[in-house]
Amino acid sequence: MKNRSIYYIAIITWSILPLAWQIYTSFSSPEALTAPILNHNNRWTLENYIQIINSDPPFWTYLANSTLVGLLTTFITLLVAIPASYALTKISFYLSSIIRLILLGAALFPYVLLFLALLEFARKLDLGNNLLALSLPYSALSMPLAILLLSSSFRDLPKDLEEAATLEGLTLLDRFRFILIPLIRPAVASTGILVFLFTWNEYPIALTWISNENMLTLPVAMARIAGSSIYSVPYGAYAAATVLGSLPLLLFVIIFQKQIVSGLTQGAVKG
Amino acid sequence: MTLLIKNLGRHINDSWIVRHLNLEVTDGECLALLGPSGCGKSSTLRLIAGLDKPNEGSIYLNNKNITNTAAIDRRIGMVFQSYALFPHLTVAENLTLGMKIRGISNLEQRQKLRSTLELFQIENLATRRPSQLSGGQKQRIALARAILRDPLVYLLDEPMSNLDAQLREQLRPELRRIILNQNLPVLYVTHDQHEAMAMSQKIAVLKEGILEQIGTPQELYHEPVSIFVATFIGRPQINVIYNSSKHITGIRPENIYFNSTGLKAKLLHKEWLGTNQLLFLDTPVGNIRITVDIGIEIPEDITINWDKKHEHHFDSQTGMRIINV
Amino acid sequence: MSLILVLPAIILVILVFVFPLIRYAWLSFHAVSVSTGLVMVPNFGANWSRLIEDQRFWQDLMQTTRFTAFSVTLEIILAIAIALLLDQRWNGRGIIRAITILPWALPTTIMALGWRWIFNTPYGPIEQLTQLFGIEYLNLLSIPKYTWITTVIADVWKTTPFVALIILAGLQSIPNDLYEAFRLEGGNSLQALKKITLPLIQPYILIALLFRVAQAFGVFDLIQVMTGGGPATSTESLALYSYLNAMRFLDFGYSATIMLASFLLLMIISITSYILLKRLRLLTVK
Repeated sequence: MKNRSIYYIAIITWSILPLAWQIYTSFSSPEALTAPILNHNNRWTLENYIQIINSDPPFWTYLANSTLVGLLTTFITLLVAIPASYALTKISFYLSSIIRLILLGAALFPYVLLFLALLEFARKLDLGNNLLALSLPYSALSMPLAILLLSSSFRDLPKDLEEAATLEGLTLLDRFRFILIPLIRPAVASTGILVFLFTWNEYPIALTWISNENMLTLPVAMARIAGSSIYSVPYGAYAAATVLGSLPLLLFVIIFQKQIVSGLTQGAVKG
Repeated sequence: MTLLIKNLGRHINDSWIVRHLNLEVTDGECLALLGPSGCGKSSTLRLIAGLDKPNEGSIYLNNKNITNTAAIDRRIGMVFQSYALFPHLTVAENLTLGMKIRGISNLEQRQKLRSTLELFQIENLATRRPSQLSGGQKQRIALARAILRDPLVYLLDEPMSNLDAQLREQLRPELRRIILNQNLPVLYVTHDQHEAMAMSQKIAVLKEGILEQIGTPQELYHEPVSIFVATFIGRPQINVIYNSSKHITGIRPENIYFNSTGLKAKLLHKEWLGTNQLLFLDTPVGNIRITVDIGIEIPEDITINWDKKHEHHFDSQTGMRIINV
Repeated sequence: MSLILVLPAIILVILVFVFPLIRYAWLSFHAVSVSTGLVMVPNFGANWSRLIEDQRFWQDLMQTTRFTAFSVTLEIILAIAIALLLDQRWNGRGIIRAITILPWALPTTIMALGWRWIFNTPYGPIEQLTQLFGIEYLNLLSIPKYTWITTVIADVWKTTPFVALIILAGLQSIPNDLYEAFRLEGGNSLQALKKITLPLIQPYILIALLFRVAQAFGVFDLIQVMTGGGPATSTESLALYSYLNAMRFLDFGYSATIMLASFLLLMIISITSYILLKRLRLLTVK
């Protein structure tokens, strides 16, 4: 146990140090950043945060945008994926194995290669610069993983339970509502959380679909701050944005770490 | 109400799970479907419940053809082998969910719930979840749920096979009292001949999807139509003697006695059964089991015999009973 | 009935995953650029012959492959080590888990710039350290020979926890009595690692490998934000190159050609490495 804790500390340090450096930077004055070894009268400052919060559009707009798209995408994905996953357990084994294999391939696919065709969709259907429309490609891209996760937990349910419910007079909709969804709730939760995370972090599609300042999602907004001047990025302000942008996610990960882990590992095991 | 099954059949790919099945169960009658696992007895229940579709034949309930009626509309009171209690609901919720869906008023739901809990003497379990129940309690809840379905027929699929032997004996009278009092047709699937005899007036023995014989326990015991039924009914198992390539004789262990003339035998070993004992004998016609009283003295040189009238004769090719030997 | 429920999902998946590839195949035989007024004009394989002669494409392919090989290898090795450490029951394991998945859960773009700041010359912590030791500036972000290493470090930092979690799931699926039986047979713990642990977590390593290779080969966010492909296109990936072709040079036909080529290359890499692993009998499971 004793010598093992060294390794734990190493893992934690490795994970946290780059983040800690961001926090340090975010509270540092420009002078302190350029000459950290010297002593300064004003080493610590909140100036960076004030700058970020007072920017136009205000920083929280991006958080709100990302949250909105994330929630809508999660909702649409679950709405389509839950019935599909259920049905996948009802069709013939041969057919469902083929479908699962295709979904696995799609889940592994580096989706960034799809951006051009998706952009064409956006132009054809006039979906560019429409925050909510982003959830269409996002739901579709999340679909393979969502169905793989959900259908494996539908498959693990004892068949008796649904049959007993049928004999009790429950229609398919009733069974979803009262029996099936409550029983696979852990899988629904971890699927929803993973979809939300994916959406929250997605970059290339948001980058190409949205150009309006007020509709940017967080990752694009961050990259914009970075791209505004490649050689003299306002690091202090950027670090403050990083910290503010990470805080909701930090909370999210702490609250839902169990579901995230089980979702990821289930995805690996069942996929 | 009468449950009537005509020429029922179902196959998966090329193999028939159930075929040419004809059954009739009337009100207050309990028919046991007996057979080894894979004989099609559970599949039969599933066809009657509407959980699977038959490939041929029809099912009538109270003179109404329900072959194509959806399971949800059939009013079936089914008890699953696994009990299939909804693990995320309390006992009370498990029992009232169906009534709620079927639009029964809250007041009536509460009354029915209370009277059913009283019937099974399980009022104290109402707020528990299935995971907090013992096997016997789960079994009662599953039965209570079936009763609250207000069914036209009861289908019990191995309802006691997950319980230990002692509990089974305790529950049998309770099950008889409650289910048979409903005065509805009852189909009772089991692989245990004791349970079949204890629970039902009539037993249907199934083998590989085909009805082998149907009758009272006595009929099955005294006049088995085939060597299969003969070996399946009656414990200790019937002795099978291969007389010739064409002919098999069956003789039950309890019909064999020591005699001065007859078959010479040597004692291999014995099992104590309580009121009597089971002897394993080596004879010229093969190994023979006989049961004798505890008190009886086992002679050095054993000679056994039996009465001709107790012999059962079967064709060794078809396994069917031969009436005139 | 069941098919009706699956259909919306299948249509979405085909629309988003299959249709684009067909569309790219079509586009790759057309000129769609500023010079054609963004109108599709058939150019009979000109995109493909250009691709074959395009130095930058081949350079990017090499760079993408190098990035993929180094980052995935490092990730898998580190992840196995981390998973072996985390596969112990003790209090506080949940906190470690939360901390280790945080890098994975954060948007790539957020930390891509964070890393740029860490490797900054002269103000980043790395250069500060070199100053303390009196070494010259490393200029990691402006020397083409070295910059790709910083992108590998950033990727390893972000993705190792994810791989570790998958392998951890594999470790936890191994029943303990296997180890006990092995110990009764007289095996030591190093042998147990070699004879029991590694063979049994192989499927998990394989799925992580498959997933990571595919994702790393399509690396975009990290490179675009951290280095912009520079210095002098020395870190540019295929995905970034095709993105630039579409969004900066407005040459959609060629962009589609690069993406389709990347996809086909990825397929070839996956299938040949799978066959190779099987040939070498490194794969004991299907």
